[in-house]
Amino acid sequence: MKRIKSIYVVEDDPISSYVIKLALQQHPSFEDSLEFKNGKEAVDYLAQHAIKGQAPGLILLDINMPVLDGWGFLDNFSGLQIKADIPVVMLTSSINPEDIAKAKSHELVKGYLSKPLNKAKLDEILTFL
Amino acid sequence: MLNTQIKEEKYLDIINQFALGLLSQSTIKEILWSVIDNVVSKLDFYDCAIYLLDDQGENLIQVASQAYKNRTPKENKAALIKLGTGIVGKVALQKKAKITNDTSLDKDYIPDDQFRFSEITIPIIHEDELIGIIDSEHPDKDFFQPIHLSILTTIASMVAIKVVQARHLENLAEREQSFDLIYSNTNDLIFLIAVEPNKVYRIVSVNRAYLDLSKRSKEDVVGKTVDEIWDKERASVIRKYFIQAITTKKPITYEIDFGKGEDRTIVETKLTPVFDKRGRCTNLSGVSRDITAAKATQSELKQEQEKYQLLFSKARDAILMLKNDIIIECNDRALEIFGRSREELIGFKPNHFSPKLQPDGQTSSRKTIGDSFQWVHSKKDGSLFTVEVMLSPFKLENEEYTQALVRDISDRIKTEQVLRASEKRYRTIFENSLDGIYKSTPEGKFVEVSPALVNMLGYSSEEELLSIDIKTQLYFKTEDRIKHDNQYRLKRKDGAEIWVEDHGFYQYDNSGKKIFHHGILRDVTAKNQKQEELQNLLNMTSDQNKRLQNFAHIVSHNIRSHSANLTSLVSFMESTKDEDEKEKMFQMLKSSTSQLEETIKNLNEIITVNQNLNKPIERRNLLSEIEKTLKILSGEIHQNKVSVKIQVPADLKINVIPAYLDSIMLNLVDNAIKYRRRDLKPKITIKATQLKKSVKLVVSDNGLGIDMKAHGDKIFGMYNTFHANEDARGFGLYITKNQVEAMKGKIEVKSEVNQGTKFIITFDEAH
Repeated sequence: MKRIKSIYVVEDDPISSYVIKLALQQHPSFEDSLEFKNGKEAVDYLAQHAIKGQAPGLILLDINMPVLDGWGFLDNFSGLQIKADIPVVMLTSSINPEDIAKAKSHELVKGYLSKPLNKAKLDEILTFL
Repeated sequence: MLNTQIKEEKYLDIINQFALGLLSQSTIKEILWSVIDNVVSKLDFYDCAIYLLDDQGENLIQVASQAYKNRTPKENKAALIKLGTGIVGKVALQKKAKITNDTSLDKDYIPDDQFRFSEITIPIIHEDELIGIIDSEHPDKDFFQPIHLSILTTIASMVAIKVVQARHLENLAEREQSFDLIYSNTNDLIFLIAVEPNKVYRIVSVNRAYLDLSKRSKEDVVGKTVDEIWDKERASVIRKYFIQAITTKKPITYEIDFGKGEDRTIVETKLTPVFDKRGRCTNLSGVSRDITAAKATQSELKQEQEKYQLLFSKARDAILMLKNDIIIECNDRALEIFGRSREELIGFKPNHFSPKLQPDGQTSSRKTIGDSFQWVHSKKDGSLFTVEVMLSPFKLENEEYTQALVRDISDRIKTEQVLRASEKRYRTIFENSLDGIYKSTPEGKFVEVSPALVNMLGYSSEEELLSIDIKTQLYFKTEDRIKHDNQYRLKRKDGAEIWVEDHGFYQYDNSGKKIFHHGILRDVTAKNQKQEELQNLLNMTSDQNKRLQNFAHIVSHNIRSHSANLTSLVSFMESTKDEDEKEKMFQMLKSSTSQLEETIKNLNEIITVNQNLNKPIERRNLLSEIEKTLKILSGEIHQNKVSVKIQVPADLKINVIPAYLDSIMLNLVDNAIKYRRRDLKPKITIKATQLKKSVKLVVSDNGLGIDMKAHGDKIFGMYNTFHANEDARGFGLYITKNQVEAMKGKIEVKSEVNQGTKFIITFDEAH
């Protein structure tokens, strides 16, 4: 069974972040997650580690965040020019059609999921990874 | 008188000697002198004289005379005798010899140098024509005998023959000489050809001109046959003409081009066949002439004539040639214009083809005045047409003619009528249109203005409007003037502005230079105002719609995010056995529910702001309102050592919803403190300015600032936070904006990272 290692959770709300971590822990295919409070923290970390070959297996990305939001993160991420194929899945409570359309058309985004995250949704992620 | 008795034998001997003498003489003078010598010496005459009739046949001129032996010669008294005068003149007239035995008895006798009593006078006659007279006198009476008469008559007839012969010879020589002269000097080409058996034509003789023109030497031509001289083609043509002349026995004239290529040399030849007694053609004589130049001139003349003919016949105008007012010639166009045949025009006066009266009411039969005039003519079918006539007199071989150039201008007149009608229609529109119509110069003066324009711009008369300087007195912006098909503002006379729609165009001269502006101005002020109101309404509606949509998304997002947390926490709590973990989750559950409550409260607040658009507006003193806010925040201000500077006029009052103003000030000042720089003493400046129709309130700080490039469009959005600050709710500025707009104000922000932030609020005081 495929296991996804090193999952970045980019989420400003601490409760949401905790809930996501729990969901990941309880699923057999996902292990060791890292939490980031906003897009900037995630990009900075990625920039340092991806170069050393420590690329994450999955990035779960919220949209509304302070400092650097989900879209800003994606722009900066593209700018890093990382060779490794890192799948990004948007995880948000927004059901704004504009957000969904924007996510689907973004080349780096592999999926768009609405909160809450549960086992069924994690299974869905596995199908398109 | 023994010596006068001449014997028969002597007589014959004398004649013989004469005949011999005459044979050896050639010129007339020699002949005559030898006659005289012989007569005087042989016949023992006292004297002898010979007269010849002059060319006019009027006088006898003495050409030779001899006195006898040692006697002195006669003086030339009677060198000239008029025909019919004296004995000599009479004899000459009657052509009959005469012996006068006693001159004193003859009334006709005119004494010579001395009076002599007898005289013998013999006419020299040839073929009944008098040539001259032989005359001899003698001092004795009855000296001359009939024998003398016989001898002299015989001598005279011999002399006559000889003289005629000599004269012929002289003439011949003279003619030969002049022929030679002509032959060698004429510019005409002369040649003689011998006709030989088997149609061989050999050149016998040519003159210099022939050699010059043909550029050949004499050796190349004389003695050669036609075939040897000319190329095959030309020789065959020439032979054809030769044969024609020979067979028809008549001179012929023909032309041959001896040139090569473009260089033409056309020669005209008159060829005359010469026949012998048996009717056989022995020679051909020809005279040729270079007629190249003449031909060219002729052809040019012909072309000129054709050109003129073409001009005449194809002219767009009718051309009539008049003599004494009567048409004697006309071109084809005249037939078309007048609708008549040539026969129906020629021989008539032009006013014959006219109605009785001309448009000016006068009869058509009057004499026209001037060289150029308009005239109405009628066609054969009676239809009338107007023409323009130009008369020009000319003289041809001393005869006076008039050329009439007749142009049909019926179409032009119709066009003019249509134009006039259209001009009239234009005038009607110009005078009555509700739109302003104008014509102006590029320099900025009106040339024409319609009454509606005068009215629209508030001037009292056309003259007044015509006198203004368009550029300075009419336009706010001079560049508007060239914006045809556009809308712009114009100044009325009273200074008020109106909006106009300009539909204009330029009029150019032949060189492409603008000479006039033409245009129609429509007053669209009222229309524009309505449109503006409509646009505002539309903007507001779409703005509200957008906010509503945004709000719906926010509501769903916020509530969903909390409910998602709640759902997850509850399900984890169910499954977990760990009590500590359970407690942690419970705390989170509590926090999440209170956040949800907070969110719902916030949303309620927003709905309230948006619902209470018609909350009572009150007039408040701005400074005291600000001071009230600062009092609420005084703890924080003090705690963070913030220096607050207030620059608000004490008497400045504004129309506000007081609760909103409090909320706005509280939020802005609170933000300024919250996002201060920790390394600087925080400074906040609150400044208010009274403007013409508004009040400007500026709240600025020296804090962290916001990256406008990254977040500029999200500053006033809901739940957008820009700093990694746990307190930030991303709600304050959203509500502030809503409150400002609820009071019909505007809020803007200017900021730079680490340079501070400046919020500018404009309160609209216009209503």
